[in-house]
Amino acid sequence: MKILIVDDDVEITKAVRDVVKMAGHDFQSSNDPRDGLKLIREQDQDMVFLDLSMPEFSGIDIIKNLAKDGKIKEKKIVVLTASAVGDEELDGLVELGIHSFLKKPVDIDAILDKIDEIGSS
Amino acid sequence: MVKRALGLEKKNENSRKQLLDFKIALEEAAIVSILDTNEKITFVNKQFCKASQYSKEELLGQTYKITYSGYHTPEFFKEIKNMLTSGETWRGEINNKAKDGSFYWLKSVIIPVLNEEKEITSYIQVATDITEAKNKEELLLESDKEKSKTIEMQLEELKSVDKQKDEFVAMMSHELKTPITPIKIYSSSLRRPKWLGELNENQKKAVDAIHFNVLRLEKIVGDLLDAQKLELGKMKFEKKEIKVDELMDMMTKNLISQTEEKGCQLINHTTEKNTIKSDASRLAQVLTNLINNSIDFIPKDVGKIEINAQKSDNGLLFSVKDNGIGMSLETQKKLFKKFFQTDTSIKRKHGGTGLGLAICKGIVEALGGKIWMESQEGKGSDFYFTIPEEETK
Repeated sequence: MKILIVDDDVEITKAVRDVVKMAGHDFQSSNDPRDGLKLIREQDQDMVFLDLSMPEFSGIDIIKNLAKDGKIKEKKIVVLTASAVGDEELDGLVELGIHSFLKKPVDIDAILDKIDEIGSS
Repeated sequence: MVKRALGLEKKNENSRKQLLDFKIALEEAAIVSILDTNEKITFVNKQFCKASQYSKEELLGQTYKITYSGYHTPEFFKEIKNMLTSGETWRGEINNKAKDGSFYWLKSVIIPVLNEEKEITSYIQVATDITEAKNKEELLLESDKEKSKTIEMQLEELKSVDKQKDEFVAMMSHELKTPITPIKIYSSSLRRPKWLGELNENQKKAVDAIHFNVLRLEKIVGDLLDAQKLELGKMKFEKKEIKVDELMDMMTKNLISQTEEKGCQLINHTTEKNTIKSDASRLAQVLTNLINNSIDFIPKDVGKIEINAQKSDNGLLFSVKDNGIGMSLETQKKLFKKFFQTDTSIKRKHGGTGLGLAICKGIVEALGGKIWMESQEGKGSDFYFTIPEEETK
């Protein structure tokens, strides 16, 4: 599978990327949300791990843009979130068309399960 | 007849003497003035002149307005007039202005004087100067106002500090969570020999310790965040139907290994099959906290924890009972408070933030229930909580 990780935290990006890599998948990563949006729009990935709280241009902005494009569902966006984001906000994102979300700190099993879930669907 | 006339004269003489005595007493002790029905001053005594700083000549023929200070409203004087003209005596405190512009306070009695036809002929005012007492009173009032202003300001400041604290805790918890993610991922990776290679026994132990402690850190940060959410009423609950016996089975499965590691027993007595509508993961969090708490305090090898969930008058009643060290009444009272732990030695021995039970209480109460405990020192502790009837199906 080809998997994209968008998170402004370099350490988290590296860690998730390493899990994806060790699980035998192709990966792309971006620490810049605008660049991340461009990658999602222009390239085909099987799924995207997307951080929500990024400065200036947030994961929510990315999701809103993709929802406008009308192709968000096929992008299989898995939101990575710390609890700073309210549950109600997350419900709103699901309505916008994200696939699901994982709460930080995520562990390997959660990441691998999510990849399997999307890979087998 | 003569005798009678003589007697009358004597009586009059006595009355006159008495009146004179009164006059002297009044002259010395009180501020006296008399107004006619046109409110013009017809008599003032020395004390009145002293208080008002006007001479007798300046005062006679003037209306009472000569000492008008502007302190009272027109309604105030109207009320006095109304009482007096209807023949009643007025009592009260009046603020006046002296000749030099200074103010003085009089505690006054004003009496309407009636003739035989019951018509008002004049008004007598007898008063004492209470300026000093009044000034003190106002000073006190002023300083009270000042004080309450200061307290209000301090309260505002405290509120703002409290808000800053809440925001700080929320921000810090978030910041702490971020580095936990890669630590957790890499420590888990190291525990997968296929990924990063086989480790020797010492390396494995080191990695296990890292992993165990990062989970501990995660729990502490999570607790802080939960406590904060409960405090701010921001915790969201998702109520779904829960099969209570299955929940209790799951709790037992999840925690039995930890209990057995200590050589102890975890026994689930739940036999009733009840379904309630509540938040399963939050209920599990409460039960996990209570059971973990018990595991900490039961004696090695002989410890026993018994859990149960059954219907009661107040909804579903959950219980977690242990034969641990128990606690004094004093301790029980403080148990559900935030950051409370019996003492620092226990904190050292058992770890934890002291938030666990406060979180349990917050969650149970937010779900509409009650939590309490019964304990005897040395004989163990029984924790109970209910989930109310309306949540029970």
